[in-house]
Amino acid sequence: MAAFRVGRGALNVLNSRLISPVLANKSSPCRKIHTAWLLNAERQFTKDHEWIVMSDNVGTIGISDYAQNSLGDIVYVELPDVGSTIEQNDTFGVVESVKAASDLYSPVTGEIVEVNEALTESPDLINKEPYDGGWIAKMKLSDLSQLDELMDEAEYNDFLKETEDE
Amino acid sequence: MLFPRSCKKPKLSMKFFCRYLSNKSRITLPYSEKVIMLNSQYNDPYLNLAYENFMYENLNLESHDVLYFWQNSPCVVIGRHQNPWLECDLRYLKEHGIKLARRYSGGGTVYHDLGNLNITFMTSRARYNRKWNLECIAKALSDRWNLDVDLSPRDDVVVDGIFKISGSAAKLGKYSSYHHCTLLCDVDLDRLNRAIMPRMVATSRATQSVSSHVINLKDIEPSLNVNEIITSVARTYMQENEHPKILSMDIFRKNFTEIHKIKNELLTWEWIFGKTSPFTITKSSLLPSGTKVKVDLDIQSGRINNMAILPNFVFENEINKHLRGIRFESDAVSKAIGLCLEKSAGFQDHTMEKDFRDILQNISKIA
Repeated sequence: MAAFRVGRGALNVLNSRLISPVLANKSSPCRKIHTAWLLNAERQFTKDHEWIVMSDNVGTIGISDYAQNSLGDIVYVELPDVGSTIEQNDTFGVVESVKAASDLYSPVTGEIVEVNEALTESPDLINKEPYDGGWIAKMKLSDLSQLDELMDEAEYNDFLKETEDE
Repeated sequence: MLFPRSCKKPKLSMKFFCRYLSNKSRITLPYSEKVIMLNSQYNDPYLNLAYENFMYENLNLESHDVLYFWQNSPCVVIGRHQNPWLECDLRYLKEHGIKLARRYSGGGTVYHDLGNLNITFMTSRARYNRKWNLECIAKALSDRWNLDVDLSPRDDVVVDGIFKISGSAAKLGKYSSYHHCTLLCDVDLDRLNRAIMPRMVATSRATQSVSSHVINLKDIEPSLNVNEIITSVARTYMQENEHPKILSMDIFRKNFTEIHKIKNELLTWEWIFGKTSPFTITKSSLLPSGTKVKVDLDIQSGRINNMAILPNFVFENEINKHLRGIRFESDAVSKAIGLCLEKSAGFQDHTMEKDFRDILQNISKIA
């Protein structure tokens, strides 16, 4: 999924979900732990609005809040086969929303080790929890250095602002 | 629960996911125009869809948009994630020689014949603008023929505020995108209604179509014809008044082999039927013995995965042996049922035999 162009509204949603919880909870140390998990400093993004979070050499992949917001209500998710090998930037699935069928591009090269079967029954999980219950696939990476090409959350937010300003 | 956790999802071969090229390795068409107009000289739905997908996967759309006009001989085209059994009357299609195709874009089921015009607006991902395209069609029709054409809140092209004349779907990729739509000019509406009137109902997760009241443009304005519509839409899209230069598909002569490879994939049973997500057909009936039974047919990747009878029926396993793994289509099911009947001859209990035959007949009627 690439270069989404949506109005200011989308970015505001993004800000409110991702950034304001940190500001709002500064005084509460307890909540801060939860916020840190939510924010997940290790989450990395592609310009095509996919994200990946690593745990050992397995990465969990999904699409960003901005992406789900631009796509609108998601009605179907076509998942890859477990065991298949996917090259970086190859399509590994399709997300169909009320507006269009969008190809998903893999941020890295690797083997699919698990897919989120819950999306078969509830594709709208991607809309509701893009960074949590709406994950799409888990992948065993073959080249960890590919992660260096990705953006961290702050860089991704800057990238969104730039695309917005264009 | 209708789909137990242990159920396998349909096997999707990776070949159905396209190998999408980076912008550098894409074909740049040797034309200076900002918009390239193409009108397919073919009426084969699989070939026309193959051209469309070839362009989506291979063209560099940075320096120009492509407007692709195409018309198909009678066929039903379902969305990428739809269920053909639940979207159309397969028996009617077969009897009337209407082809069935699954496209790559999302959305609902449509009927095409030579009275329908398909328009594909292919642009770079950044220039994707479905609303603008539809407004362009509406403007072209209202300017040229003074029709009351507008966009509905669902972004459908409607005439006189209510009648739908066009259905849209779209595909978005990293660099390229397309929005395509149908335009009902002079379609056989009786056939349209019958072909996309499903015979079955089932529990399924596939994308469902939204039905609408449709009308032919020709019924509102008898003087219009497809070629004039093409010219008018092309002019409006270019925002110029000159006569647009419209090319044929011959510009892709060199890519013949690749395009035919896509066409052949679109023609496979695995793509058209096998790609359907799991679904269950339930049929209740009263057996000759007076017992009320419910038969559940569980279909996965287009094939029968399991048949369950409620309340329990002694021959359930025997019937399953014959049905499991066969394609869910009338010929294959009838054949399997025939074999099952042959092998299970010699009943002692006549009531049970009647029930057994009745159940089998019911199953063969479902497909």
